[in-house]
Amino acid sequence: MTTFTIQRLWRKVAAAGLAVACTAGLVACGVNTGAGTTTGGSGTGSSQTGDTIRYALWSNPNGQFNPVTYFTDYDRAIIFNVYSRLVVLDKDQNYQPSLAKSYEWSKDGKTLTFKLRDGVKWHDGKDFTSADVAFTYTATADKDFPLDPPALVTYLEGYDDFHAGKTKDFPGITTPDDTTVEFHFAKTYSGALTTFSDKPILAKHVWESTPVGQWNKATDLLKNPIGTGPYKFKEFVDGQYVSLTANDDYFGGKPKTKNLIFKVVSPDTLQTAVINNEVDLGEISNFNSKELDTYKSENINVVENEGNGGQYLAFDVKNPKLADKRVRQALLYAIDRKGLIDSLLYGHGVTFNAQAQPSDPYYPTDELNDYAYSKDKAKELLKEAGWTDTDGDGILDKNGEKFTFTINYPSGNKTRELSAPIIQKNFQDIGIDAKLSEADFNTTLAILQDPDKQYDGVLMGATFRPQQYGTNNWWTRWDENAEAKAALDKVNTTTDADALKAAVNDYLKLENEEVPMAFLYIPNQGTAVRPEVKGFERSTYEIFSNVTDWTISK
Amino acid sequence: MPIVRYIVRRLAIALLVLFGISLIVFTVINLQPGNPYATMFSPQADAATREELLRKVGYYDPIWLKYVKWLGRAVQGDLGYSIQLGLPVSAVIASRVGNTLVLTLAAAVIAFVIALPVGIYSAIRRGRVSDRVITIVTFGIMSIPAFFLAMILIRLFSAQLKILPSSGIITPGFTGSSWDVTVDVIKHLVMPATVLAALSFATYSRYIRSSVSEILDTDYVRALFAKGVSRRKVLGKHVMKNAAKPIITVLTLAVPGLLSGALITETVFSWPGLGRLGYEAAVGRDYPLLMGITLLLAVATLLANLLADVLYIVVDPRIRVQS
Repeated sequence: MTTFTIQRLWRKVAAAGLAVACTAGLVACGVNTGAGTTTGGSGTGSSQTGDTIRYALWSNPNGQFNPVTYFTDYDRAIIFNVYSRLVVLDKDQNYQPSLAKSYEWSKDGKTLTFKLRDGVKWHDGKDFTSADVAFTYTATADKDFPLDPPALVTYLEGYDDFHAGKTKDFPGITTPDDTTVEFHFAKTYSGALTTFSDKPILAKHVWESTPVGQWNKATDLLKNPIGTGPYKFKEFVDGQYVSLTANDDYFGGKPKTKNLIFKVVSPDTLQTAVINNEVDLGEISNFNSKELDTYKSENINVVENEGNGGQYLAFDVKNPKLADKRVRQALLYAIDRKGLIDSLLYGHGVTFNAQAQPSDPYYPTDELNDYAYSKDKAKELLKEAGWTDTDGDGILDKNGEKFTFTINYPSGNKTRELSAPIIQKNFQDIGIDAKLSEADFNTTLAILQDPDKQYDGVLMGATFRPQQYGTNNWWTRWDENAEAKAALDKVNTTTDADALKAAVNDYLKLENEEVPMAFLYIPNQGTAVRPEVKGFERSTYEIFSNVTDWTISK
Repeated sequence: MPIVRYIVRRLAIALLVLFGISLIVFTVINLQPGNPYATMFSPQADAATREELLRKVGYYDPIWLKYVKWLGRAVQGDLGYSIQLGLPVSAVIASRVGNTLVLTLAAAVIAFVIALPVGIYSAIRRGRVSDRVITIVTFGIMSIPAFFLAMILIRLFSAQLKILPSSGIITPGFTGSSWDVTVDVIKHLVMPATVLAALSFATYSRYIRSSVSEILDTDYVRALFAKGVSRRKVLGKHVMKNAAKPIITVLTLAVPGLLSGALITETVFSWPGLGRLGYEAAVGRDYPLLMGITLLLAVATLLANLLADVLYIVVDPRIRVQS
């Protein structure tokens, strides 16, 4: 009885074996691996000892390797290794010259002059000059520029006419000689340096023959970026990895490791990939103690530093329920922020009380209200604002209106998703009928970006930019507040270091008092580093600041 | 030949259906709140700047105008540019399609190879204890969420045993002979294909079981056994020929499923395929890319349906085309 079944099975297995062999053939031909195939050489295929470092990226870069049209963090990682910036941030969050030798503001704060390094060459051998700098930033002011122009260029002289296409030249940027660039501001903009540390320089001779409006579609140029950075671009295998090789003539010194590969690894499998020696370093996505223990037991070091982005619950300050600042302060008091950090981040995070990084040299640490968790204070403030529970149903009301609050939050960030119900509970504890509403990131962002949409609260995050503050105040509609506008204006138009510090302090103190958003937490950043990698150091804002010193032993 | 006329007529209908699908999908996509530039602009971009840029790309055009513009280009083969990637949609899809096909083909083969003997055995032993055990086990396997199964396999084979790579399609910077490359890819393929296969093998085996047992219950089969025809001959010559039809249907209709790609599997294993691409396009409101992928799926589904019907006719002479 059973014999025939086995014979049938045998035939099936043979057929299957054939199918598998065909699949293998298909695999060899059909798969887009981008792997080089050589017949000579060792043929074992493993990365050679000591000359390659593999860094994990959480997601595939878009391939927009143009320093002014990129917008994802993954493209940024590649771009910041291939291109160079005029200034970079050091670990104390001060600006240090990089591609520029020095910079100086004029006394009236209207002119910023950069003196550039000599003898820098592009990866294709051509000379780097001030013309490249002027070209880069002029392009961002062009009327056809495919993205929004950085605030920097909108403050420069002649921007309006140039952007409208009325003039061919942009008087706001001048180049007196090959190693000097001057930026002339019609209105002083103290946050200029941040843009210079964010947008690297591209090569005029590479990009000038392509119309600016086509820059984000210029596939050939985008896939073969030419920069002045420590690593030269080698290849991008879409969806899998980007590989770079050392630029021996780099002005900051020859990189110690020849190859740098960025591999796409989902954050959920990152730990396995590091343990299994598939990547050498990668940013971890959570500080779960079990995961940290696993790293330790495998001898993998986790380098931790303060995060550069904060999560907050944005308030619509024009919402009549929230217009009274006492209400917003109450809501901030009502949230157990330390609890969030302990339970969701396992303690690996810090609170903040104004929209700036607490280690920012201008952060007025001692002068801010720390809004320590207090249900009583929250209830007291709400009472002052007229909200009490008149009908004993456990929910606050005022003039017959119940205090309902919808917390909108986006999917995609697990910690943020988990924080929503906790905050909901915090609010319910003080008598607010809080509801949750989840949507995808784009939809949630659309709520903030539409000035006609009224909302109660939206959970969102934002990266800090040193010396740039209040850039997304329009999300909370707080940008229309006269006091805020005045304080920010003062900040943006002061370039003298001491006066700037005072102006920033004033602005942040105002923000801390007015609470346009409930500042929640800043998660720490952690990088898992395999024991063979030496020399890795990163600061809050810069990951690759000393990439030329990274070495790997095997 | 009537069959040729049949195919031609079906193709014409398919074209109409395709047009209808594109219209519906386009409308639904564009009715979503949010816009593709929300995540591309810096937070500093104020309302005026955003409006200017959105206007330039035709975002504020009335929806029918947007569709007409898209259709005009699409019939010429120009599917537009992906907003986020800046690449032609056709190029993006072309670069990912092969990867998804390999993964899902491998998964389908594995699933079918296991499902066929299991299904037949269950059918032969239908109603008995062994059949029930197999049923429970197959449903159990089918119920395991893909993500969970994936993580278990990764933990076992990559983290603990360290014999298989946990993600990707190839080791970066790999060089070697094409045989070495193939082996490397197969190493990367094993786990994701197994996860995908686990989900579909249960379905296949149930279909096979039900179609085989249905035939085993018929009078003419009983008559054959009664006549003393050997088991092997009954199953091979008579039963399988008839059971082949529903099995073929299941397989050909699984084709579009192949292409839509196993989103979760591709995500966990960082397998660069269409599934993940489609998800990212949807979330990023990348309309042109999303339309391109959806159209591809629609075309694949329509062709698969046509293929299934044609195969039916070929396999069973009793079904004839109406003239």
